[in-house]
Amino acid sequence: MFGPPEYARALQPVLGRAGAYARALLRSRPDAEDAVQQAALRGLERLATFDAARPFNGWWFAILRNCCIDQARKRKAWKTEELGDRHADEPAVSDEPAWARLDNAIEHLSEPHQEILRLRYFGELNYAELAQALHIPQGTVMSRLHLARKALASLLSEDEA
Amino acid sequence: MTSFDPTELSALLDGELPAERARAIEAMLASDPDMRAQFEALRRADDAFRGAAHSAGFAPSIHLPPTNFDYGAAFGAAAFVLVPLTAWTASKLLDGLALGLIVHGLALALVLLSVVLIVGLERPAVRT
Repeated sequence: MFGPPEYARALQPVLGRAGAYARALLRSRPDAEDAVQQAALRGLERLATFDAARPFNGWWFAILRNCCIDQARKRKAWKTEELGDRHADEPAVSDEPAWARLDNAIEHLSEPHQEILRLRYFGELNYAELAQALHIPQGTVMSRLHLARKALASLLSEDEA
Repeated sequence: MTSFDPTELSALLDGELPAERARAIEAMLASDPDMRAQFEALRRADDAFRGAAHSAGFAPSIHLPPTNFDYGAAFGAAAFVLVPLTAWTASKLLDGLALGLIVHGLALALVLLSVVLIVGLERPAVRT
């Protein structure tokens, strides 16, 4: 049986990737920490929905993704209310020029392509886990990831030229 | 010439192709410069992303509510209520001061023991 102690153990090795994914999506480390904490608690509440025959990471990253979306909405609402920007956005990951260039290229991709690339690289999900997290068939994962990577490769080569 | 689906190039990069198919694609890559150029472009994008993702990693601290049954706390609560009650009942029934003192002493010892257990056995929250 997959109970709360098993859940806590399964979560432990995923946290680093979860932090990276949430940070890449929210562009703020404090917001990423909040989203991961929220996802950890939400996962615990929804443990009954977890099918132990399927990958844990895919199930939990679907929850984390929703928490990141909620966090982004909250932040947007807060900013509108405050009419200020006390919480200065950081570049998605770091100030390194290599990342800034990549970040800029990613912004030009469609939302589904950005999504799958973040989950693949920051979340380090495999195809089965991506399929579960995004609620799409594995064949769609394969083609979407290929198209996203191809689009990114083309943008990067344009940038180099 | 054997045909291939371009999405297989990405799958090869991700290590998601069955071993036999991966070998076939690698053989095609070795003999087809256009296909190799496509693969190299994908690999460059892959390397760029992988490097950025690597530098982004950080493990946030999370806190989960304790989920295991806390035997120490349960024992303490039971001892706190039941032992003095038993002591009081015993002292009334047996009307013996010595026995009352012994049982009260025992109650105190159990309460102290339960405090030690609560502190010692408290399950730490998941923290990284």
